[in-house]
Amino acid sequence: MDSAVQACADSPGFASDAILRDLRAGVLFLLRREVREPAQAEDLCNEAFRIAIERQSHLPLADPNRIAAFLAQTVRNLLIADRRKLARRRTVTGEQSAIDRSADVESEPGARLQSQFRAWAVRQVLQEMPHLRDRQLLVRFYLNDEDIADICRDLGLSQAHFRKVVHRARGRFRLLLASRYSRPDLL
Amino acid sequence: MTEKHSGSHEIVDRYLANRLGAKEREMVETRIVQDADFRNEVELTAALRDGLRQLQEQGQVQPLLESRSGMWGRIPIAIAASLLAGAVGLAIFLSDGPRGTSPQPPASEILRFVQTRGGDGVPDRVWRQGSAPIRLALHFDVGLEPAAEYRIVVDRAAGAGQVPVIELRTGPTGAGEVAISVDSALLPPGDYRIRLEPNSPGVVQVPTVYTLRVTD
Repeated sequence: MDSAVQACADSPGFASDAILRDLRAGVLFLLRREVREPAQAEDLCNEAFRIAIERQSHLPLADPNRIAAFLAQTVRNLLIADRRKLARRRTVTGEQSAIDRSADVESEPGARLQSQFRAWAVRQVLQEMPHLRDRQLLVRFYLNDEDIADICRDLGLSQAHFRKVVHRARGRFRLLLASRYSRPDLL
Repeated sequence: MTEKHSGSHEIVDRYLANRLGAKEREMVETRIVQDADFRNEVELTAALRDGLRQLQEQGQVQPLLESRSGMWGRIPIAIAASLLAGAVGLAIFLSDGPRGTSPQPPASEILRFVQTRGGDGVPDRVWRQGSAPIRLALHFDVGLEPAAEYRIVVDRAAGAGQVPVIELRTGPTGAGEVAISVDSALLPPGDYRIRLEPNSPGVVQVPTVYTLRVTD
């Protein structure tokens, strides 16, 4: 475990190893959604735990169960600070959008493969849906972010049917992602 | 689907669509940090959205939103009568048992076929033929909404073409799979294509194709 997180584990009254691992996974998840570079997300994660242990040692949280909330807030503050730092350091060239595009995290082979697999799994789900309006529902909801009521009205569906289609599509998508490595004869 | 799950999905969808107020967003992010199951739901939904965006960028979404009545309405006729007459080992089995005169060997192996992103010429399953014939139970994942009935055609690759081996009709099992039972003697070493053609009244569905390689 990272040294900062280990320090939390060693800190009396903080949290057990298992809970910390869980908390760390949650903090990293939030950071990776906002930060392009995985290494930067790791650094910010360690910083978040360092802040948490400092807080716990100087001014313990009244309710230890609030640690998750404290960490989530710390992540938000760190992200804001990180963006301000980035803005200050940025050299104005007039080509910022090109620079941002060139630093694409998906240029990493692992990330690119994962992204391709997700696209395959989604295409598979859509191909397996026999009813056109169910495919339209999924695309309008998850790609276009349209309102449920609007989709149901336009497609002539009940909200119960909407939820059923979404639930089944999610289940099928989950199964397809899990089956990625289901090749026992090739192991 | 329980109400609890339905509620979780809804707030996850709104979170990922940036439709939550500040307080709700804080609550969701706290829950992401402390609740692994909830975090997995968020991750799955985010992956689904990312997958759709990828398809959109590749121009693959619009074709999936076209009506299939023209594209998939006709199931192609696979084998001509002359090929059938010359075929090696054509047999017809019913899913509830054999019709042949020789006794069936006991079922001793199940091969499951699931949708994976194998592709690129890699067979979906590879199976090693033993010294004695056995009964192979082949179970096929047929997707999100199984059809009422399937016509199953098993062909073996021969030169530039395909030689029919088995053809039968059956419906899905209670578990949403299609299962057939095959005497392994009908599957000498080689590459096989198994095509499951759905037949649901009033609904057009895409056939599912699996590949099997039998080795010795």
